[in-house]
Amino acid sequence: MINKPHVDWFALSPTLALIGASGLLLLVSVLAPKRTRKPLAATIAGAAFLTALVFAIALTDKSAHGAAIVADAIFRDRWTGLAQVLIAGCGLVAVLISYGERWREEHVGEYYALLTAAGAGLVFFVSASNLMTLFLGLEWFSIALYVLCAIDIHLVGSLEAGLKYLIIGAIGSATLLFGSALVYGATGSLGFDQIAAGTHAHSGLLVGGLAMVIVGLAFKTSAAPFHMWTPDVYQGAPTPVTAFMAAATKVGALVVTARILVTAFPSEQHLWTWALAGIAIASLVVGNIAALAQRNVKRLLAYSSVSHAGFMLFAIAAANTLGARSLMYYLIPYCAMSLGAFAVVAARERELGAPVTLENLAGFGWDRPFLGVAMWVFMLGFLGFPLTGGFWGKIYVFSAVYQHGWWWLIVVGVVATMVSAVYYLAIVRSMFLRDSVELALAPVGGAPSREVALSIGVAACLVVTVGSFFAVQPLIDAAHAASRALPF
Amino acid sequence: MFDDWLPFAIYGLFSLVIPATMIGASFALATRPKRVVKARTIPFESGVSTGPPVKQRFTVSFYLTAMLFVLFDIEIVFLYPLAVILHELAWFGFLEFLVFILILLVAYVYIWRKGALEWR
Repeated sequence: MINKPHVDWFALSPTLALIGASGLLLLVSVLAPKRTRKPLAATIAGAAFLTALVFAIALTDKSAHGAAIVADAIFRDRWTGLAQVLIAGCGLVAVLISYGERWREEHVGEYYALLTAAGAGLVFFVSASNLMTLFLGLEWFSIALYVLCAIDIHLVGSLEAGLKYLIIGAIGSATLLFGSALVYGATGSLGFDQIAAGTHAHSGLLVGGLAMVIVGLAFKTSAAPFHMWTPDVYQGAPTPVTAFMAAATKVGALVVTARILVTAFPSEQHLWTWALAGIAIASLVVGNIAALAQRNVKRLLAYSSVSHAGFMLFAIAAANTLGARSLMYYLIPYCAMSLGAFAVVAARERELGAPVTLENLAGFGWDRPFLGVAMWVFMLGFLGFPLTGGFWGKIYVFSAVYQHGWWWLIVVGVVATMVSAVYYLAIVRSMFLRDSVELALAPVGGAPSREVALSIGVAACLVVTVGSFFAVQPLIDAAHAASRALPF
Repeated sequence: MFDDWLPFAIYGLFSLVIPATMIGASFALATRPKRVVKARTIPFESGVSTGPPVKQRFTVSFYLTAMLFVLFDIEIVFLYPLAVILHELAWFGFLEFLVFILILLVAYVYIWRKGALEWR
């Protein structure tokens, strides 16, 4: 007799909504008449992410008592739920940013199909409760993203970005898989809970496996020294794809890193806290110093995302409930700022028809004041200024690290923040404080299009970035409820 | 302490020894005639002779067709184990089977309408 698992369809609903939409979009991309394809595909993708968002909110609300479900394959708890809310929200904004992009007609349906497939993979990935579903989820969203990076083969660097991401992503996946095999060899179990239960002393196999699992996930969080693909891929990929990758992938990878380390390896805590602190410091150093030298704005934001990975790894390295809470909180404004900043870059890119650099950003702030001011806010948010959620994010991360007793990490973080001011403010400076005489490039094809969808997306990001400063209490409460799903 | 690391050390040793012997043996066992013959100058492809220089071209359609064939063939292979235990799984298995076929059908409609099955 075969034991059939009890399937909790409600817990799977965000994933199913997105993957179902992905299949539907594939059919739309070949069956719908050519002219209706683009609006129809974007509407379906937007509706799918909205549905997933609603389901994820309901799921978070109704999963106060966390449990492993579907034959212990996935977790249903608030940690998963809140991460799914974030990912679905990122997807929704990504659809808004994508709408105005000049996609080639034959790829527009496939683009949205892959975007929803990547979203489905990420939403599944954050619910993983054993090493098998972890790897399945990772490959699921990664493969969709590899293709998305290379989807616009006429864009300079797009194919290159896809290939680089594919090869380095494959190394990351292989490392994660190898590490999982070693962990399985040492403990004889795949489930996170069972691994923790079966750990006796620390065997070399287990520690070796743990190290490789951390490395595999660090490739996806783009933390130094596993960040080398990030600048090239972020620069080469179509900007809406970069926006989605920078926000949603980071949510998935960081949330899962925190989950697997805390749930499966509590007895190795003295090792992985140090490992993560090391990776975080490397990310801050590499990200901030390399960003200083960049002229291309997408590349600059890529290095900025490396340094933010460092800040968020601080929260995991703190290994306490305050750290988990601050990670979840930090991700909310981070996603909004990241999506918003890349959306503004996308808008400028569309009116110039050329890669956006610090030079040709000149005068943009006066030209399109709403986007300029929004970008200003996002940069200050990245920097951690008050009146943006980035401020509370950094405060909470630092207090988590302080609670762990590592005051010197705070020193590193503060120095990194001060260095980062140079390049974040350089963007603001080139948008507002340059003479229009310096404006070398004229917009192609007359006045820029209004881009209502993109402006709505940027406005949403702006509301979340500023709103998360004022609404810090309800958000931190939600993050607190989520962090209680982790066994500290 | 040493006992903890012993399995990992043995494992690591093997993963070093296997490629090392492969590389070492190819040096140790290689007989090197002094005379350079033509066969020795051609690339060594895992022992497979590259054969006579091929001048004829294949159309790229062969690769696309072959790839699609392999993809769908492998999917069909998954149905065999399901067929063996379908009675035990009853309706649950049948519905899962339908979902699987539905996904395949979407992919099939996609490649068909996309023109991947046309010979160009």
